[in-house]
Amino acid sequence: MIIKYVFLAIFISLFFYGLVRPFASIFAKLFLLVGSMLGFLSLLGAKYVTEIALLVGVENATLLYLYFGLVTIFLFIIITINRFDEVNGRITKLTRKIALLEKKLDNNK
Amino acid sequence: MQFSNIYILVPAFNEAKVIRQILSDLLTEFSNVIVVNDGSSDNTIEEIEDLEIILLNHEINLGVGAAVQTGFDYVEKIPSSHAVITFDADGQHSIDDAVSIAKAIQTCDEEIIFGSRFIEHEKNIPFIKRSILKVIAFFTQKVTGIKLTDAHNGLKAYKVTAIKKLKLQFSGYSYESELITEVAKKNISYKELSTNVKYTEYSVKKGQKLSNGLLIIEDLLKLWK
Repeated sequence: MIIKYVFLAIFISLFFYGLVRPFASIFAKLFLLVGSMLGFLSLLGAKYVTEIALLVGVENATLLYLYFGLVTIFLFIIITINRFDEVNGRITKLTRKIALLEKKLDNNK
Repeated sequence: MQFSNIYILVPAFNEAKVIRQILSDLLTEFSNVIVVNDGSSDNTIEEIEDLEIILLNHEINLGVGAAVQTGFDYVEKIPSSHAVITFDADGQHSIDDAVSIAKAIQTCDEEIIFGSRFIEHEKNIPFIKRSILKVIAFFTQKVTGIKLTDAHNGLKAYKVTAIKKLKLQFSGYSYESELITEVAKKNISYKELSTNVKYTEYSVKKGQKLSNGLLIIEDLLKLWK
């Protein structure tokens, strides 16, 4: 029973964290909110998640979790790769600028 | 020196073993040699710092594309500069070819000259390398619409007017494919010139690997719009 309450507290915290934290991608925010809500509902009673699954046209709660999990993983990978490319581009620009500035300073000595 | 308005650009990454000899040979023909040290972790800088060259230094390794762009940015700001010739630091290009390409860029109307190993010296390229280069050339043609016999030869000449038009972003080997895309988009005039290639055990180890070929094709797909 204690474990259940611990998990409930975690999901509630995650939900509010998702609401408050600024995300670079709106999808990441959405997935955190929906995921924590699903987790919260499944702890209250599996039937609620089953109802949601049927509502969105998925056979049962397990499949809903599976699809949601897969989409989340791929989304996470895509967001991470894009972010990595973006940071890489910034580092490249900075390094090139530093090289040219250093030379300019050398020439001015 | 006959090439006072021409700049030789040598991107270098961990070339301590060979770079001094290559630069010394280049300096016999060219007075303006720029080396962009691309975050080498060996003694590349120590080997060359006493030579009469212009040394630009990337603190970290970014890739040959970024090194070339840094060199372009530097030359672009020199008012008397006419052209840049890119020259690999691994010793696969000959100084004679650099001289030929320099003479050609001084007199021709075209803004870029692509060196090509496939016009006269295809047999000098090892079979696997030749096959990879042909696949890359095929994809490059499909993406850009420009037919070149050798899309990824490091020996090229660019007039400064062409450099000012180019907007390159790729840092790795695939900058050459991006370059061709830019040439197509901006209608930059170009021609090919036959160049030889000299593969030593060292240059083969340093040059394009199969994995690089796949990365170039991946980047080409990004350009496919």
